[in-house]
Amino acid sequence: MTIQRRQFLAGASGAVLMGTTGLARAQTASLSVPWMGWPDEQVAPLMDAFEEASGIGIEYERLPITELFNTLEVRLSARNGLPDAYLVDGPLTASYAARGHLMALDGLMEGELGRYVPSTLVQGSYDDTLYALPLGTSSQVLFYNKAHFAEAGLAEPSADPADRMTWEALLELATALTGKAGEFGFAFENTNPYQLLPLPQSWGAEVIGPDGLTATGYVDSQGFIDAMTWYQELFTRHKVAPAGTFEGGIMQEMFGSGQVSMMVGGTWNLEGLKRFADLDFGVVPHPYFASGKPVTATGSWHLGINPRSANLEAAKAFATWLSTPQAMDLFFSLRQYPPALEQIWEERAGTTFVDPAWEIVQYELANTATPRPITPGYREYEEFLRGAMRDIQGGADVAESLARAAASIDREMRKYR
Amino acid sequence: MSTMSVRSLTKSFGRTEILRGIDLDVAAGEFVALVGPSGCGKSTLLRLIAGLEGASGGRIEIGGRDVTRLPPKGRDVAMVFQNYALYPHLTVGANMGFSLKLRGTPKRKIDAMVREAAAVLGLDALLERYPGQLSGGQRQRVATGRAIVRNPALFLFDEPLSNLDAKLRVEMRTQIKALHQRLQVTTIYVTHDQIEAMTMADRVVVMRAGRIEQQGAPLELYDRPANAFVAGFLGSPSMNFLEGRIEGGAVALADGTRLPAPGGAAEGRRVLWGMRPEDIEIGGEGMPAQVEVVEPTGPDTQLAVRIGGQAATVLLRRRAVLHPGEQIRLSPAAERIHLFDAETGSRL
Amino acid sequence: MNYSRWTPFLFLAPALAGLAVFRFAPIVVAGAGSFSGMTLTGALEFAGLENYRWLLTDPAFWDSLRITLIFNLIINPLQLALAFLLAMLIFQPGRGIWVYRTLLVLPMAVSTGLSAVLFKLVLDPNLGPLNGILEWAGIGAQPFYRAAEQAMGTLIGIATWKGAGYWMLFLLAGLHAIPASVQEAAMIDGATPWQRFRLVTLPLMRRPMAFVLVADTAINFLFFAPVYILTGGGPNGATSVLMFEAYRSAFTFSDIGRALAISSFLLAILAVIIVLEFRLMRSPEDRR
Repeated sequence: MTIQRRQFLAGASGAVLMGTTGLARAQTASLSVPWMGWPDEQVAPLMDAFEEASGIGIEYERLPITELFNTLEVRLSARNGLPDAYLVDGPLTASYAARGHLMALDGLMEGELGRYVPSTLVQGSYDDTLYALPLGTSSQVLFYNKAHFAEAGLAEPSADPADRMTWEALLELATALTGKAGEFGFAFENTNPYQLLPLPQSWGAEVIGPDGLTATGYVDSQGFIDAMTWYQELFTRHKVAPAGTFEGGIMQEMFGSGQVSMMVGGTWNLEGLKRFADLDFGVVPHPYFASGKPVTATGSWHLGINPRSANLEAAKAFATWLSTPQAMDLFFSLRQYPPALEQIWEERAGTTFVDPAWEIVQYELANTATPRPITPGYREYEEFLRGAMRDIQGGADVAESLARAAASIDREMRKYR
Repeated sequence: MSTMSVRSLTKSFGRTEILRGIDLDVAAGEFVALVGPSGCGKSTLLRLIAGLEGASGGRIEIGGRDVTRLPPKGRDVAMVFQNYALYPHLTVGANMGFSLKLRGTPKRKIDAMVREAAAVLGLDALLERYPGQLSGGQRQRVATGRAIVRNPALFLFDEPLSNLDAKLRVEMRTQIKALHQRLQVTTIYVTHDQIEAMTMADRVVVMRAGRIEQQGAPLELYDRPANAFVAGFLGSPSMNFLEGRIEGGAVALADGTRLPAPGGAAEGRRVLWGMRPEDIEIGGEGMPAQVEVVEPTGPDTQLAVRIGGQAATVLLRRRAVLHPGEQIRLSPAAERIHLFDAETGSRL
Repeated sequence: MNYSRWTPFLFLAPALAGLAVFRFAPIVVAGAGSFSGMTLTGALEFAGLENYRWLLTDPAFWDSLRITLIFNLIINPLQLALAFLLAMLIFQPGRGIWVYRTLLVLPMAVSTGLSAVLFKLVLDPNLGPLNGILEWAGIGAQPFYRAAEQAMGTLIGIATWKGAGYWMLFLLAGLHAIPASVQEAAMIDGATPWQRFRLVTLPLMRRPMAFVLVADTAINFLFFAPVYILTGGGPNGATSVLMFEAYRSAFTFSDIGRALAISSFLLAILAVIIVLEFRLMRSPEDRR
């Protein structure tokens, strides 16, 4: 975790400025905001811009994704004023809101909600109330290394969603590519429910009960098992994908450096892969199972305000600022999450979004994007399912792993019933 | 019961020479005491004989058998340590029977032998106790019992009584002596206490700085010490040494006081005139002396005096009424005068 | 000087206060907390035996208990034996002994967490250097902590890498406390080196060994950091020791009642096992 001393000092000087400009009451403390552990150059500019615009200081911490959730859980459980505001993963909105860790934002955003892409508001809402301000959404596409395809003598796949590749076809390509141009033919960027749930969903499996609190019968259903068995065989039988690469950012590195020929990953790679000068990559739609339907992951980061914050006004100012097109445009330029504000889509329609990759994203968001389960127990659901997915990748018995995860999820869900 | 002999034995730790060539023969059944000031090498010699240390050079024989390179196990010796070295986790009986058990002696036989040894040492009632529950004297007896139980070829004692109080020490001295007379086991006994050596041993070996200074029967050493070191080491209070020069058949001290001397010493030679405190009487025409301290001990009276400016001790085997500062005359027993070379310390 | 019968307690007070605040109070809090539950909004409510009833009917708990017991059944004797062996090796002074001493004590300077991170890198199935060596040696790459069959062994290995040298120090002190003359007496009594070890050294090491066994057990029942860092309780629950279950309940699933019930249960079985160990290791001369 990294607390930016520079940010802290900037905040302090901002507080002094404020007294003279009379923007708000003199602010002695700066905002404490846990953030995702993205590279600092993707975080600092946003924070700096807010400080400059508001005169409010921000102390942000960049935490790796697993640390972020655990840290938030521990701090929020203390039920005190810290943190003032925090990043909320879309599906966790219900969990935090149900436990009183989120301030309702309906009042703050009154009359503003029409500016948002509707699906992003759904993710940030619980009980028909907006609790977490959308910062973007997400979509997954298939990246491929053009040079590797040429080297292996393979035709490049089609970027047209109508000609979407099946997983079965992808496996053939991956097999052909493995050991040829790169070491591995294919990889998912991450091993977590966000990225992998589209597999059982595409197979046709329901991934949670209609009450949002039941995993048994869903997570361990035959469809789920079959889809995850297919996933496991990528590693154990076909050996086209590298197992055990759980560290964040490692797959972008492997794809970028040519060790992996195809990768299903998020839009942030469009910008992130630019640092690999030798890489010539193409982008096509997320594959699907021939027997099922196209499903893509979606959902993204939101901003939540701790209702117990001692700096509520400053926290609200942060949220308000993050709802401005200027802030959201900056956020997009840093991290390339598909925007939550309609205005950004419109403004960049003629520039950024002419890229065919973004046309694919727009198609997916409109047609195939399937949010993660909406449940107050998403944290428990994700925790156990991620463990099972990693075990499955490592060669564990699929049915047993999923049954165990389902039982564990149901056990922890009891508190929400 | 065996003989023991040591030939040209040396021992060095790094560059420090501890033993500088020891020759010693111990007859079967003999009780030999090794005495000397601390650091003289007596304990090291004992440990070499036991096999606890390896010799740097020379040869050790027990019962005519060369054991120089054998481990302790192969030497058939028993040893009593200064701190007794009892096994704290074993009962008295098990401590005593330990060596027998290791030799695979049947349990019934062990029990019998332990009981026998315990009876000798009056340990019968203590057999089930643990060492932690015993007094110092009892522990000492157990240590001795552990040594005698298996009839070793050689008994080694390493200052076995020095951790006991004075009264107990005298008691145990007698007991060990009696034990030796009864068992007749060849015994080598290390002590820094010359009284122990004198009272217990058949033969006393006086060591200094890694060498044997003199050996012989206790009284022989006492009466005819080979040098001033042995003379001074044996006897309590120790022998008086007055430094002077041979002048006209007598010893002249620095202030001119003349002391009687046996003939034979060369004129003008610097000598130590030696006389045991108990061999001096008061009165007669002897040398003048001044009383400095009077210490009556009951049967005896010990005087610290100055003779010709040099300190001396007089031990009277009676009560005497004397006062500090008093001028007296002392008459040494002429046949008990010892003359030593002032340079080398050797007997003249 | 005035000396009251309370004076000794006055001197003991700071230590007793520390004990009360840092030892007994948490136990009381945990014990009491294990009978309560927390609502979603953070309110505590009395739950009676519900947490325990729930726990005892939860297969995951029994799995975890089994794993914890197996883990301890292996690691504690292993570390004790290894520490003893190392202490014996080091006890005999010889050439270059300081190299061994340094090598053995070095892991102690590394925190448990750091050592887990270190081994995470070394044993990484894809990128770790150890698998590189194993492949080069023709043994083939191993999954280590990524496979259910090897994960527990890997954790035991890592904990032992760090623990053996540490516990060795206590046993080394124990060996030094045995008077040399007692060993010499045994030599003279005709004991072979093996007999001396078995009949003298071993029985006289009972107390330091009992200490090491008990202290090691206490630590290993609370074994946590490497599980958290390396396996997250997996694969397939293979390394989900009770401490990790308690941690997850408390800090991931906000189920304080379950966490405290597990902690209290852990404390109780630990107490029972330590009493048993003390009995097992009691010397005959202590039974007066």
